[in-house]
Amino acid sequence: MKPIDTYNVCFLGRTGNGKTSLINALWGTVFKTDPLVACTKEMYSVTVMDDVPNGKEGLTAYDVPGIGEFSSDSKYERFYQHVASVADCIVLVTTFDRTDAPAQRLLMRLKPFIDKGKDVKFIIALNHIDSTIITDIKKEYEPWDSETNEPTEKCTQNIAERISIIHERFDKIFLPFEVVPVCAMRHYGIDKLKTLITIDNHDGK
Amino acid sequence: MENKERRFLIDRIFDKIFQLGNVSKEDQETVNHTLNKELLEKPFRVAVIGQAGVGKSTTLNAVFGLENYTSNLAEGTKEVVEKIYPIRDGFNLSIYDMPGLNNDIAKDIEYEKLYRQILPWCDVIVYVVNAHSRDFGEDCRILKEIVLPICNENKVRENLILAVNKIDTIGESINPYDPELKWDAFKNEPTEKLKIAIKKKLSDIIDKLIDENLIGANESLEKHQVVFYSAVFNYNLRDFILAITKAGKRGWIWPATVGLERVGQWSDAKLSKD
Repeated sequence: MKPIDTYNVCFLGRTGNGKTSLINALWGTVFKTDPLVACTKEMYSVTVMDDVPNGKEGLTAYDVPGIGEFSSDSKYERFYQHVASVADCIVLVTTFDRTDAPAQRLLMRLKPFIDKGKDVKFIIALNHIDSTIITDIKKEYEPWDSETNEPTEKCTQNIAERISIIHERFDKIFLPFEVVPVCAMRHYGIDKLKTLITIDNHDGK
Repeated sequence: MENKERRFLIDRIFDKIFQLGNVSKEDQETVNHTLNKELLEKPFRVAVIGQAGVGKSTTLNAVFGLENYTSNLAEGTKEVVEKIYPIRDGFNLSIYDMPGLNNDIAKDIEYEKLYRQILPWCDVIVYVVNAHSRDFGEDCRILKEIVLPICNENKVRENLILAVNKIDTIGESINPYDPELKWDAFKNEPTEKLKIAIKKKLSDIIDKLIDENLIGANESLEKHQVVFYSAVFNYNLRDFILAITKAGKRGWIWPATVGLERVGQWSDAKLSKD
């Protein structure tokens, strides 16, 4: 028997940034999520056969516990090393929260584990874009247009600002990347992210 | 108001001792002079550290009596300004609002240098954390790799206070919809159910600090250096003041001048709310 030749996508990021919710939104899985408590404590994976990149038989998405729950000698480090070494695509999930140093350090630590034989794709997903933590004046800030299910103009500005900070902080640290604004809860940007994950590096662009 | 001039509590205590101990006028003068010099000339220096949103400003308001204190350190500013606040009787409090680490590795390097310059000269170093932070591990790392080593190298570890704020919101972090887990704002105390949840959480935090070698290990913190409180509800600030009292060589100055009185005010405030 020939094992399934899978395209491996791994999700990394701070605890609470919504890695699990994104996976659920992308592939319709129902992995447990919790808005307040770190609840992914193991490594999960799901393999699908639809919408897979050319030449692959399946796509496996890996969900690992978020960083930040433990200090740097994390007991989850082996999970991160494992997913980094099997990955064809790495998705870093971030938010408007600008505490980026833990993710920067994680990527630097994982760089040696990346499979050099593969042209590993790197995507940064900017999640929770409807969050109001971006401003102190919560009452006046309306981030979302429910009718069109799109971010408001002000929110779009905040997204652009955050994306430029992300570039400043991550450009030279790991691999070239594209930032995709998403909102797992509102199912916004999910299709774009899925396309970006599955599109062939050489066919696309 | 029997005293014409308001005086430091510590002066009044010394006066009593002088009366009882039959101390010569000259010696009294010397002691008073030295004491006043210490209190008036050297401001009580406090450094506050913490990631965004942990409640540094409310802590300064509640614990150190700075009203409407707001952090004005824009992200990316390198300098830390020493802000001096006249408290009373010529006694000054100076605040160093330290930039929080962990936003960007390049900035962290700059900020660590800043910590190294400033922390050794502070009487109290307050590291504020959120009681239900999801990434408490990062705070542990910062304490372990940066703050504690700086304190140890400069022999000011006793000045450090790990301030665990927002214990009033522990219930919300368990179940935001359970009214029994909400703070009883009327009595200004936790409900019975919340009390149990808080106790559980606090012992989890202590366990974690032990696991991370931040308590009970060599060159680590003593248990009394960890305080649990709620700055917005002025809850359990006594422990905070006690911790300040025990901090380093000059911690006693704070409660001996303004601290104890403030604690008195808080308990009054609590009673009158009933």
